[in-house]
Amino acid sequence: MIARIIQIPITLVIILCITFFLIHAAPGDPVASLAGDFVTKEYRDLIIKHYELDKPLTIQALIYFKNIFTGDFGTSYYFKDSVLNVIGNRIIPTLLLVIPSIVISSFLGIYLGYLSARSSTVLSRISIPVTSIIVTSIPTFWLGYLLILFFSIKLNIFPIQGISNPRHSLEGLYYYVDIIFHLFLPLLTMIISQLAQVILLLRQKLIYEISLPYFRTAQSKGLSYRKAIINHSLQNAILPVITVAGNRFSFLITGSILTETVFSWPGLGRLMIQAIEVRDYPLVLGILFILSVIVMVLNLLTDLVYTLIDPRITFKSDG
Amino acid sequence: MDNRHKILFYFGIILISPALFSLLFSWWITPTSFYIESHEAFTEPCFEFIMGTDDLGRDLFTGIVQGLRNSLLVGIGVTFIAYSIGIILGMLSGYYRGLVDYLLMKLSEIFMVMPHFLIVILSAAFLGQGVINLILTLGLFSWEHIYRIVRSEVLSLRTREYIVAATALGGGFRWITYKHFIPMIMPTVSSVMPLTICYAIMAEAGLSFLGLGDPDQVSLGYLISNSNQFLFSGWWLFVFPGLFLTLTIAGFTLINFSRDGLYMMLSPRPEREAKVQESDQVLLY
Amino acid sequence: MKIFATILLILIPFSVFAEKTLVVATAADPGHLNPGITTGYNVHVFADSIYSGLIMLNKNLQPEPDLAESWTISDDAKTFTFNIRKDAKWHDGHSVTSEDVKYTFENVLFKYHSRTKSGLGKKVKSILTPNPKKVIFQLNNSYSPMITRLNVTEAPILPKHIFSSGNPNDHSANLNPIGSGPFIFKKYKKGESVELLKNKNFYIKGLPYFDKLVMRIIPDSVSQLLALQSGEVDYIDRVPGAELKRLQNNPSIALARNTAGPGGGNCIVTITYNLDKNKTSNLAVRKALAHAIDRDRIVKQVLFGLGRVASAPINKGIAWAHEYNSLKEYDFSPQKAEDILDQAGYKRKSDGIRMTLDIVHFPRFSKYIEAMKQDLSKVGINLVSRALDRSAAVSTIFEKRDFDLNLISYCNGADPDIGVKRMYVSTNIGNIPFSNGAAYRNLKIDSLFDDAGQIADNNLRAKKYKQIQNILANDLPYWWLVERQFLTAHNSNVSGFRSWSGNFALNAK
Repeated sequence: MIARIIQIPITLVIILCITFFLIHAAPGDPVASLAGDFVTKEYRDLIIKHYELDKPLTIQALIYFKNIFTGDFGTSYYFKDSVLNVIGNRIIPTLLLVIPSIVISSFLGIYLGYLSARSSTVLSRISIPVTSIIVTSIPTFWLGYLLILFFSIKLNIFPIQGISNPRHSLEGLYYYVDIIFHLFLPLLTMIISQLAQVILLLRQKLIYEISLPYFRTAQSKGLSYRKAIINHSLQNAILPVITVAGNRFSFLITGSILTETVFSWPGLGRLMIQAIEVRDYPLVLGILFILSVIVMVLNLLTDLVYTLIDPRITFKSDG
Repeated sequence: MDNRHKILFYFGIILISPALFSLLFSWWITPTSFYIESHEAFTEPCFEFIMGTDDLGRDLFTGIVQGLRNSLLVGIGVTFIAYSIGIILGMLSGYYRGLVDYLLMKLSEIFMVMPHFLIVILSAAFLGQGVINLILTLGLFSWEHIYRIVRSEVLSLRTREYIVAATALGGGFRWITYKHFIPMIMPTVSSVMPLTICYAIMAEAGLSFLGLGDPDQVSLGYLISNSNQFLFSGWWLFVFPGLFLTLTIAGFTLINFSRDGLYMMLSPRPEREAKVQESDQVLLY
Repeated sequence: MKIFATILLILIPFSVFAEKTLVVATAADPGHLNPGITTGYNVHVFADSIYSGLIMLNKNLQPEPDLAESWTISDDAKTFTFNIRKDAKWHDGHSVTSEDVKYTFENVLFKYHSRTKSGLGKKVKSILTPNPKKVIFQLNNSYSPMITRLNVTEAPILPKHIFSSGNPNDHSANLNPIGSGPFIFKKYKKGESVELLKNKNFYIKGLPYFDKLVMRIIPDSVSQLLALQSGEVDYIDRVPGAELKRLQNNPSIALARNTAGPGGGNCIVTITYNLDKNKTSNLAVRKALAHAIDRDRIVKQVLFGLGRVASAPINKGIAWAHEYNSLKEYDFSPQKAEDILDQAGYKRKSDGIRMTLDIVHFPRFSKYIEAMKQDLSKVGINLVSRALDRSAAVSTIFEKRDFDLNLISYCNGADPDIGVKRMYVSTNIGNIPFSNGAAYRNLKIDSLFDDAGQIADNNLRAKKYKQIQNILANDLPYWWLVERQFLTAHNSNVSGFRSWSGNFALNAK
């Protein structure tokens, strides 16, 4: 366990190193984007000297790591603000999409998976997973536009894009209500794209649990089919869903890029693409750092939760 | 395979049949590249142009056929690379164990933690936007999953008597691998394959949609992103690429579902459980 | 939005509606708000409404008073004297003085603003400030275009009392700008929007009409259009060309076509031939390409009619210098192209292809490349597209010179000396982005450009420029495709936009 915690910083350093050299190896530099459409030799020299880009790569890397230890992630070239500030602003919209979508799709998925396992006819047992597979297969960006076309344009209920109303800057309660309105469609897109996974997973586990001997025992003790499921099998079947949720988180943070692009949602994914495009080295590295930390911590927590819930599994770092 | 799953399996095959058809026959049905022809722009679907033409007068049917073919090629290419790496490393890990295993596991963890999509975007800037680069990069970031599966399979297999016997008889790593391991892991590996192909197709579509794909290769993602300017003036440009992309992805997922579910039913052993968990994690977001 | 708007109406106190707000949509995130350290469109679209320049340009690109209420030009066009308005104040109350002008030019513009630096940097001998409201520019040689380069896009004036402490590149005022323009900075939500409030003490009385200017960042042009149609925004600066016809019939939306915008004007989409590479160094190949591409179709299908075929190396918008028929001989004729290539020895091989050329470009110009691919393949040239993002493209083209062809939109600006000269003079060959990418070396051209820059009389200059264009038409170091027009659209309730310039919302009501 301690070993796992120690591994985190080491892995972080390795990832950062790889990314550092990758992005500096990419052709081009920040100068062109900072200058506009016209660059002079003097301007280029000025900028390069200012950001210490003329020093050898390894020296730059060492400087960067030294700064990280003191908590200084540098200043974004493009935004001219501290990297942590910039990321902090943009990570909240992404989290607003990711966390509720995981929670809601988990609940919904568990319910639908349960429905599909317990119903009596084969048709209804199959129809839920199959429908969910087909619906989930819709590419997120296509789905996003479909939802916009239907809900925003035809039915005129929800706003088309962005996170807040452009015309009136609202304060307090109205501000939050406004955000929720804007959140609805992107969130719906994210939820739909995750449903199948949860449904299938739960369904599989549930069917497995039902096939185990203890289920028969429960039934013979007098519990109805339905009750037996709810009281016993479901608890076991939910386990993997919870643990998988942790992994899904890391997928989704990067996966939200597509949804963010369709809905002009000011999130981390779009920020990353922008940062790469303008070669904003500190920002790119900062984002990668934060994301990697989140992923690793979540993996750790997920494994921890799993061992706590299911005492049969011992804490091992692999397998 | 029991009947219910057979139906699903065939249904999946039906869904991916346009893609398969395109892969095999595109050279015959659409001899000229999508990018070269030019006809009247913005014609609605009619007899001559079944799916209409786009803003530069290109035939959408050609675009869809060649796009499906390219998507499938990318999917297969990525799977090939990812699985080659993953299978070899997995077998090395499972057979030799010890330090080799430890190092490889750490390597796979590092790859797992890195945000894949972002690094692929990064390398699009770095390597330029070509389809070969795309396949290589995507493949390079998809191996850790199959690696773990193969590894756990090999770990459990190596204790079987006939493997031990083969070693005692002098069979080295290569021999055992060739004769025994590969046939043994094939069922498991091939049951996860549709999912990987699926993921690769989705990733390629997503990247092309963002504008990071290969501009010389037709892609369904590009067709969709191109069409959103013309939502009102050319609905067919938006509908058809999305439709076919959905069908293809759904088909692969259904195939996977029908075989995986079946597998689960047949042999619910604990080790399968662990594998099932992992194989489900790779599903689309 | 109707249901939402109704809820809003009920919930919000009426005072909010007394405030007139103009909502504008633009595509790019500015990052920061200092227009003096960059020429980037993304920054200027926001910052040009916060700051002001000495003059502003009217619809015909002629100067009008802005910070300077009057000015005099000496006969030899070497001395420019400006009288700054008495009531011009910074948003924090300090008065705008000639010290600010001097400081801005010497410490900010000549260091960081590439266009002004390269255009004016060496020409200005000294800047004198005899009294706080009078500033004099003394030039080394006569330079009549000087005055057109002093608007807020090319030369915004920054407050000395704020920026002198520290480095302009990193200053905190980049995120909290204090300007002298029609709108005051209120808030910048990264990735989302910038809010500006009316400057009640603005020196042009009565302007601006709107109390609030909100600029939303909406990257997707279709989303912008949808937002405009649903009333969420009032003005958008990017209209998808395909919608042009539909919008023209829509009475609630007004369109404006301009040849200029906050990022530069009079732009020509240009193909650069790499004169140091094998095939493109052959004049016959260059001419053949010129005949093979159907530029009318590009105007029709890629630009949706928003533009013109380029009839000369200098944009038609600079009317006095434009040489009307210089490119006339290069008509669209695939047959001629094929003949030229055959004669030059590039015959079609068994697969029908004569040669393969690659073209480097930014991803957003892909449409042009696709249209070109169609045309060129008909004459047997296989065009390979290399889409690189901006930084990579710049490095590949100007630093490594690793390309056969490239496609860039070169904006000429208001005067040929600003945006045209840089493409052709031999001193600009090297790692200088957006300059002489072809590596064209012609001493006659160099001297003609130098001469033209120093003469005061536009008629005499025109003669030189026309000579230049005729030489270029023979040498064909580049191929000028189309002149782009920018289309902006707005709610027809609002009018008075100066869409061609940076401070476009000045007169809007």
